[in-house]
Amino acid sequence: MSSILIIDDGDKYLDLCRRFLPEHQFLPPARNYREAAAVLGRTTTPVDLVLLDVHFDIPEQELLPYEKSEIGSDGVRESALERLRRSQGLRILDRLRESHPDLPVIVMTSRDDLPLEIDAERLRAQDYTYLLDDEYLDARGLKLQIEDILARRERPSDNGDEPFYWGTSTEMMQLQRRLAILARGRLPVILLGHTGTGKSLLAREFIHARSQRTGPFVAVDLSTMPHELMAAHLFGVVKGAYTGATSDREGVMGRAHGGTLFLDEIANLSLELQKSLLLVLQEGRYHAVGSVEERVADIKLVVATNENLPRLVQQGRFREDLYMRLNPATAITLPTLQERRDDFQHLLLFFVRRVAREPYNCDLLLQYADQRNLELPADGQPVPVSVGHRLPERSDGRTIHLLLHPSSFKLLREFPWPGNFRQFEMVLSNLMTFTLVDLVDRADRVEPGDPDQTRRAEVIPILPRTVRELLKPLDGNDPSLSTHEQGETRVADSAARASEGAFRLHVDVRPAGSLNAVSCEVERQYLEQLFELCDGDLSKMAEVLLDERGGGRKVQLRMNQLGIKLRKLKRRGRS
Amino acid sequence: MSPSELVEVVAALKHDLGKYVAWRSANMGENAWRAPCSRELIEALRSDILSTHSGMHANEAAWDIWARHTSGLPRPLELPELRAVELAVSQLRDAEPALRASDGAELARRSDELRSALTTIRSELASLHRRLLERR
Repeated sequence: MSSILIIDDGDKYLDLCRRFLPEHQFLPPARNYREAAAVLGRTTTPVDLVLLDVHFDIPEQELLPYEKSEIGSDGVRESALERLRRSQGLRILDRLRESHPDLPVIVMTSRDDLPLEIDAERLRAQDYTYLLDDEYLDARGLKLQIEDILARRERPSDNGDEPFYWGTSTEMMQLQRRLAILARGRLPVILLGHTGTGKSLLAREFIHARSQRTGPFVAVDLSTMPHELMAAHLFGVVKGAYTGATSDREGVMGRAHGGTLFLDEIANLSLELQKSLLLVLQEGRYHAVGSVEERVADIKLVVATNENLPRLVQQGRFREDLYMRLNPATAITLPTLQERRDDFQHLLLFFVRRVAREPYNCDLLLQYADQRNLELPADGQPVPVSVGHRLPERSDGRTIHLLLHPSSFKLLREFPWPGNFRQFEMVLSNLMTFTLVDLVDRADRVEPGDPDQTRRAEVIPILPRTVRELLKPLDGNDPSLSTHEQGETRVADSAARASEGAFRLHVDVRPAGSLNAVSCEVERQYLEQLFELCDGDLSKMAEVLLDERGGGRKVQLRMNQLGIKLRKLKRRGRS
Repeated sequence: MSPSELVEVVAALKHDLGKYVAWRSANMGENAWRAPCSRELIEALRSDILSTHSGMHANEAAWDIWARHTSGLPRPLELPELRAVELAVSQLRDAEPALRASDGAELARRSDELRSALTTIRSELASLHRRLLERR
């Protein structure tokens, strides 16, 4: 039996609930914030859910805020008090959220009855806060809503509770609230922003996680897909639809049924397929290629682009009716990493924790912690990490702190990051790997009395040189390192070698969830082939790739990062 | 009366009258409304109509709430929704003696009219409120 607290100035709710929802236990009602706080503060009566009225006809001294100096006097005072009474429940909610952020609360009003539109948006953006679905309270509707909320609470938490890259600025908080509202709604969401600003991350880890949809998240990068395959990939194909269609194949529209479909680089969709997508949005139906059978599409659509869609509409390259259906009024533009310098420390910590969970870094951290006799986490758990340019005052004996030199911190913060968060994450991953590999290797060589041993073992200083070296190739302002020139040299060099028949490699390119995934797959293929060509000799590979025979360790690192199992390759080579 | 003041009046009517005038009775099953009136329905109607809203204004009957909130509106009422509510409230008032006496036979005779009046008050106030908000 669930325990429910009603916060209301009268007995109407209690009376109705006890009559029509006898399967729940309703605690004696709290008449104001003080009484509610007292009930919730009692550990002997855990409360599963709160039903909160909005309008409280209660004496002035019981109203929040308790200090009312700003209210004024006489007639103004009376109307101000009346307004306070009409919105008292929302003030109580704000106070409750400070002490009980994840306690489910049903605000007993419909959206239309809230004092201000902005209140409705604010409440809808909050987790664990619900509004009545009905205009007036219907006991059967309330019963279903309560059961749904309580059942959801019993299910294991989903990704919606994971930390995200929001930071603390007001702009980002507003963006988060707005996106939370859009995530729960049924309309499509447009994400705009430069490459690497987190469009795909947001779609997967925030919008889908909060959409309350039970189906899967399916992502498609339309920029990597050949136009002639797009229709079949999106809508599926039936056997015999065209030469080569040897069997029925489900499209992403079908795979995402009940869930979220993320179409990255939507501007790459042909005009013909734009029409098909429009039909999905209008009718919720589509046809597989070569089929007359109508299929139902139940998807939450999220699209992303870094192109100017209104301009494409003007140029006739994007259908206006589809654009309007995509809900452009609520399009979200994601800021670049450079625009978020105020939140840099927060972002740094978020992404460092993220890269620390990558399998190779995770192993290195465990090895490091083991070698230095630090407390190891429970089986299967990653080592907790933190990062910053200041030493933490105290240690919990478990968390490894990556200490950046202030100049490195500044360098990372001020760097232009043209590839934004994706590039930032890659650099941090490399930074962690290179630093840890050195330390883990060096552990065998530590002599008693080594001054390094007197340092705090849980603090890992990041060498400024490592940071500079990792950023150097990305710095387009340095003419000696211009990517363009460098690329031309490499291509020419590689072509020359290829013409000698030395390293002509074949790779198969297939669509994947993102450009990054495609390039990783390409890199994986050529490294595996080169490994084979070099008979598993990493030094030889380093000579080919870096013109440096001593760079075998670097090659090995990169292969590890890409998930290439050297042992497996060696076995394959022998057989 | 300014448009924003009118929205305030309608919002208050919707909350104090529309919300509570059918609070218990609207949740009664279909069987409860069939003659003869059940004791449960009589209690629900008495509570909903004779003590529609309780608070700083003590227990108010539906017609008292209507009179309190609409006293500043020019008569005859301009808005058709408010005229419909006014008529429905007067139908409730006609049933006051039967409600006070818990006269099951008379209430059963009037049950269709009462039910329709309660529905009218709720729906007309809700749609008027929504219309005024959209216009704003």
